Amino acid sequence: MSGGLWLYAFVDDVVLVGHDLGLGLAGEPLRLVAPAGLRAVVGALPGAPPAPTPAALREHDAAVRRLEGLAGAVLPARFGQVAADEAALAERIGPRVDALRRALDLVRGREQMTLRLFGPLEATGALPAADDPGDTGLGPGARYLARRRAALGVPEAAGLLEALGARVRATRVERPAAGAGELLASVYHLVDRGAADGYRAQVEALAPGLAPRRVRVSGPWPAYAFAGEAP
Amino acid sequence: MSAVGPPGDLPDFDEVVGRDALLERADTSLLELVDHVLDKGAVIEGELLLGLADVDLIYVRLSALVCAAERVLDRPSRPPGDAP
Repeated sequence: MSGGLWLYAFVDDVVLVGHDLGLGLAGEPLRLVAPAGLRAVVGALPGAPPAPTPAALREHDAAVRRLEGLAGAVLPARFGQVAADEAALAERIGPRVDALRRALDLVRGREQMTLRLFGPLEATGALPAADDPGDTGLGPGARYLARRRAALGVPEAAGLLEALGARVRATRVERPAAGAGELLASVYHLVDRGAADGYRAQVEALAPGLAPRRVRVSGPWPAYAFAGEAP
Repeated sequence: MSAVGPPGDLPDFDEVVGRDALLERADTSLLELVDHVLDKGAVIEGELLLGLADVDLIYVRLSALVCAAERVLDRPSRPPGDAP
């Protein structure tokens, strides 16, 4: 009994048409389909969808990574995207075709680097509190806007991010929810394919200057963080 | 481990992430894997295997574990940069 179609990625500029796409996380052969005018890589599950174990996550990621050698634009799917068949897949993505095309344009020829900024919570510097006049001299409205800007940017690593700016084509920033320990922010950078080594070398050279905060870099990744709409 | 059914049938946190193994290895690669593969990426309409709130919970707990592991083991986690 088929478990449906497991989605691995949307792709464009497929440079090796007809090339073997390899196997998916359930050992199923991957194939190229064309839902709603886009192109997607899917695998027909032999049974129930796999659980999100670490091994399954790695297999999904490995399958997506293999596609980067075969297509100019690879937009990874989140683990767990399953449709009953091609028609169901086309129906589900229909309302989002334009957004998916824009995302494919954004990630074409690019890959993702990820920065994690860690540090003692007391070292972040207090943002103006809504009910604390502080020394800023800002009114309540201006303080709110300052907090929003600070939340969207990463003032704790402003120098590093500015230095990386020439390598970066797009950015996403996330602040963790409470309880995430000393993780202050996650910064996702879209860079040109092949730029990862230079990016990492620059981060490692500048990291000591962030003390007492620490930065960890990983990548390159497929462009997972750029598959949704820009904030 | 059996496959996950509807969103209400969730895997046990320890089954999924192996808390003890994570602490022993101080392995940030699992955290990166969860954040990228399970919490990001294109989504199609319909049910997800895990609700977003559940993914956030796993990620938050993993983040705290990784930070705690670094302190307990008094050493940084595995060198960054390499994807799993």
